[in-house]
Amino acid sequence: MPPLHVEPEELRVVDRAAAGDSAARRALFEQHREAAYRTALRITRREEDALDVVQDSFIRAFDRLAEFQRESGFRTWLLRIVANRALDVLRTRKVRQAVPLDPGDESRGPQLAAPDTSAPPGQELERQELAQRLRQALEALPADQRAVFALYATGEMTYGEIAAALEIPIGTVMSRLYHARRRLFEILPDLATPGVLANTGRAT
Amino acid sequence: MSRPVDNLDDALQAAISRGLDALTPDQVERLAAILDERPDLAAQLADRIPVIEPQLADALAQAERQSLPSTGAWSRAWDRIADAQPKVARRTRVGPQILRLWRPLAAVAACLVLAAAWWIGTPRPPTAPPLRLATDLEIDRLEVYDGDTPFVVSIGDSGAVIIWVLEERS
Repeated sequence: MPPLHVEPEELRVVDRAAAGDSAARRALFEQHREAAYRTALRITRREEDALDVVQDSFIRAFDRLAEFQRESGFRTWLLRIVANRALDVLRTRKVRQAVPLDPGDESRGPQLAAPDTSAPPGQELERQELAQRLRQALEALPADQRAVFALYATGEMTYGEIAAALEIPIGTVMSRLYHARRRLFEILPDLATPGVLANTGRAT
Repeated sequence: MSRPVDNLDDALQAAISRGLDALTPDQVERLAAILDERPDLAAQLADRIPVIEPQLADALAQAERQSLPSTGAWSRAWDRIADAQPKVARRTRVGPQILRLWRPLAAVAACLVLAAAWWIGTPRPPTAPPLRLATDLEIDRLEVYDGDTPFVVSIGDSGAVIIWVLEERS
């Protein structure tokens, strides 16, 4: 499969942003903030950390726009920064774990978007229940598998781009993704394609 | 149900064409180890986007939708990003390009002012007296050493006068 096609219009916006055009930077932020946030959230698992990661990542991205090689889209390049920043947060959190955060300090978290109320009440409950189980399943993944899964779940990044973003070999990406998916589907078999969990035997 | 593949070449091709789920855990581990050591084989996989099932993508989107920041939170996030932008980047918004040149222009102007002050304040020697042919001068005696051009310094009522003596040629 060929690399992602980079739109000329996007490159023009990136050029303007690189020249310091604030409107162009804001356009890039508004276009890619949600993908960045979802990726950060999958890795950090905390909403307040995810929003901090998004802010830091955009600041870094705008500072380094001159380094953007344009071989991939801006989003892929940005998500690479997001993933690395989110992993930094995880490492810092491990160091800080001896000092518990104040659970009563709700001002740290971002204000969240209103829940989707368009679905019928019963269906909405089912979706919320599935969403909750999926969050728990993601939390159960080891951090290295979760990072690979976070970039894979964008649906836009190649094996090579994931490997470059996380600075690991392609074979390791493949292995971590394989095990992450199997663990998720073991917890949530209703999301698995039939046959996914069938190949458990040893090859000859 | 996917059919397990028999060897690593087939495993790689199966991963490319049918996805990772075509492989057993053991095949994945062996293939991963080989790909990590063989960039030429890894290149076959490098440009592939691993497939994500629609139902998994939908469930992820649903799970994360509840955690998305509000419009206000996004707005505050942008404000912090904009505040962190380097001043050189924001300067382009506030005025024409000429504003970016004020430092070099000011430096050039300062240099011109200094040069003018130096020119005005520096004492300069008086204008040199004009050369003229001495017609009413009598030299009694002149000694010349090593053929050097001789000159005479005469101090009279009108000050010092230097006289170069030129050899008369006919």
